[in-house]
Amino acid sequence: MNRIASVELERFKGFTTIFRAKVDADIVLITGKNGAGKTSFLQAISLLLNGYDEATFKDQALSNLYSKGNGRIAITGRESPEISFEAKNESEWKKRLSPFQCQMNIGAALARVSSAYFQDRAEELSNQEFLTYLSGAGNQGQEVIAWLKDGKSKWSSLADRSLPAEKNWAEEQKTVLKEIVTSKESLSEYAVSKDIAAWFADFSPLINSENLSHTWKDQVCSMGRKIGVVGEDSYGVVFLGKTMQKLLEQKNTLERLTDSSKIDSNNKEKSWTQQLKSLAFSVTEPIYMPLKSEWSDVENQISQLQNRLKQLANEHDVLKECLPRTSSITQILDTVVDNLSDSLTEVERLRKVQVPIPEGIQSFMVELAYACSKGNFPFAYNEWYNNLQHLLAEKSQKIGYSTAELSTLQKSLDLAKHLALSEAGNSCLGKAFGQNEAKQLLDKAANNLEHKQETIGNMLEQIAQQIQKLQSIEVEQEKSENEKRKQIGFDKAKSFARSWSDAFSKEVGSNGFFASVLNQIDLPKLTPTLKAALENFHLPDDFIEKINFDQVGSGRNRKIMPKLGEVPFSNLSTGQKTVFAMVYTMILNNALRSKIGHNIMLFDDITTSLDLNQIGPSCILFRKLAYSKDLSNRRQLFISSHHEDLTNKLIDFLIPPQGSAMKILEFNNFSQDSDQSCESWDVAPSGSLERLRNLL
Amino acid sequence: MLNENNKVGKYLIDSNMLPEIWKESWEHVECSYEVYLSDVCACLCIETDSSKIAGNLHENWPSLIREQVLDLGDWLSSQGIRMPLVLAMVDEFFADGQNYKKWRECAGNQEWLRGNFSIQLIRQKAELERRLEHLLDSAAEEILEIEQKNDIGLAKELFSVIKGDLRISTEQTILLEKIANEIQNPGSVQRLNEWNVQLEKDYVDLMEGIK
Repeated sequence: MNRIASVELERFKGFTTIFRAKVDADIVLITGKNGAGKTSFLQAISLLLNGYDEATFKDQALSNLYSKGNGRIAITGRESPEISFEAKNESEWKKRLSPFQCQMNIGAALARVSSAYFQDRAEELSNQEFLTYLSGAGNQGQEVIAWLKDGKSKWSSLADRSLPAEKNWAEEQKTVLKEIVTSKESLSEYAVSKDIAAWFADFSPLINSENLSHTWKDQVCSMGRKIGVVGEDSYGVVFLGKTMQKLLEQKNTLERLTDSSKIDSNNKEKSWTQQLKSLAFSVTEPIYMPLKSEWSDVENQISQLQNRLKQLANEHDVLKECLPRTSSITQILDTVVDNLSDSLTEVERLRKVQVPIPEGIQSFMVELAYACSKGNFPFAYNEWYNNLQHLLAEKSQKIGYSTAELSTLQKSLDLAKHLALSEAGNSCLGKAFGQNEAKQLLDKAANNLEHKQETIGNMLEQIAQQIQKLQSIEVEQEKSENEKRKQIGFDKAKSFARSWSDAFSKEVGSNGFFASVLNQIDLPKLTPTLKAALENFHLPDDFIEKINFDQVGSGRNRKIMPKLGEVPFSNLSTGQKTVFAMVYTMILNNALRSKIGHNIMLFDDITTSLDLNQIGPSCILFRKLAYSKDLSNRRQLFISSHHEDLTNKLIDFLIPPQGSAMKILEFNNFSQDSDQSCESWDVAPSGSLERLRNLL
Repeated sequence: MLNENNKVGKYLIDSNMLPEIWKESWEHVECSYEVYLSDVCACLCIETDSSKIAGNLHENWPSLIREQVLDLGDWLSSQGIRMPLVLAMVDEFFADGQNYKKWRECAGNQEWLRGNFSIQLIRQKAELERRLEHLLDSAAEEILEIEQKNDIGLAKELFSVIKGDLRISTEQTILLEKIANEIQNPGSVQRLNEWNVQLEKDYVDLMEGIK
């Protein structure tokens, strides 16, 4: 569409009823006070031609709030059919798309930015849409960038992979074996049954606290087999697994035993004596209750113990007979030792005198000296005496133990016989121990049994866990050995991954070749035209000499940031922004001309932030667009302004040349009670050089 | 001031068409001038040598010029011509700084100009023709259509980068070539994914010692 001839609005924004305006001119200058509807009028045109864009309209109610019925915008072109759109509500306005097929490529936001300048949206000139359009929308570049990011993350993680650190396996095994030994020792404190004790009897994997025995694996295997592991497996993951399994099974068995041996006085199926007997069979201490089949063995043991007691008594008596009855020998020996040295010196001296001592005395003294040189008689005598005393004490102790053992055996045998044979085990226990003692004994036995078996069960479980640790070490060690075997391959693979990780990483950053090619946009070729247009305005020289288009932000926030000299667009003054944005809109409109689909341009309220001096240069650019001699290159301009003085200046400077047309629309003030209206004037054309030449 | 065959000659108002009294005002001033008129604007173009302007004249120089521009505007109005008026000043000695600074201040002074005309300062005469053409010629703007980068174009640019840059590693070259080859057809990411899976298989083979 090249030119709009008329516009019709109905219930759009502030327009309550139908509003019609003839606008068939190259420039339509719209005036009116604040709130008269100038901006809404321009927005309606943009919405109809460029489609609904979120950035402009998302916060606005597009349907009139004071009247009911559909909202409608209609435009009639000078040489084209009417374009219109009707919406019942806000969500329907959002569905408005541009009627121009070619605009689909650039989208509503970019079409609007490049054909309409709205004063309050000057910042949008550094828009993301244009950049997206240039670098992304028409190719698969952004998808490839996302793929590169995935690839980078994948290859980096492969390149950073490392083999597990080598461990001191012997040290780890020693630590666990120490724990097993500690558990085993703790277990022995709980008077375990002979069977359980036998499992760990010869398990001693440590030579001392620092070194493992070279047979420790055999010992673990031996222990496992005693616990119940069968098969040909040698030490290893499988064997350790089986050992652990067996230990847990044994623990479960113990728990079942404990449950079954609890005395329940209410249990009528089992007599009290039967329960007692069952309990007594399970307890090794303090009561030992032999089975009937064992009675004769126990009687034999009792008989042997009795014989042994007699023998011990005899030996004790013999030893007692050996003890010295007086201390005379001790006294003699002490006297001799004390005086021997002096006596020998004296005998030696007397042998040399003229009248020597008698021969017999001299011989006795020499014999005595010889005997004393062979040993320390008093010490030897004392040692013999002490040994004798010790042996006697030992015999007495053994006699005591044997007597107690004999008594226990006798009592146990008597108890077993009574319980088995008598009708009243209860009274029999009473006879053997006394009624109260028997009851206490039973309670204690029951508690002991439960506590002991639970503790033993826990400790077996603990050992099972320790065996599992050994198993884990085996698994880990095996894995480590496998990894070590793969070391060469691993190094090659890692280097391979590193190379690809580097390649992907370099491409992911903004300096990557792919990203650079993708982001290389054609904006620099706009700069000569942009500079030429800006030369009309009073701006610092370096603003015009050095114009760059930086890209700022990343991802979805990436946008074009024009830079004038060293000053980014966002830092320009409001007036400078307006000048640049207005010019940039014109340039964008040129750059995207065939994609926009229409030749209509809107400039809303430009005079608000322009000073008087910038009005002339702005009008020069407007005239070039609207009054171009190249008719195919002409734009129809809608320019709104509310500032009265500046509007008059605009009118002066925009007076059309011969062959062009300008209209002024003055919007009347809004009122809820009256229809929206406007007055319109056609502006007479100005003189021209040709006319001047003719005149003069 | 400009050669006879210049592009803006068609907009030049012959000197004999200009009012005599207005022309006489220039006689005592060391400068040459020309007046142009198009459908876009009217332009008074002055060529001067600021180094030769001295004394009182130097001081009053801007006021004098301002009066001349306004008189020209009035005369044009009297002929029924209303449009933006531009004073274009060419002075190769603007480079000396002071004079240029003075005129820059005038060009930005709202009170002094009152929006009646605008000033364009041109430091080199060689620039004059281009500047006047841009100013006066409504059809002078070159239409620069900007096209989106499509997949084929992207691939082409990528290939030229790969050929031109020797600093990149073998893997990066392979990667970029692969992207450039695949991106030429739709569904490139799917095929790039398949390629990456194959690369990962190579990695596993190396790990296992198969390769």
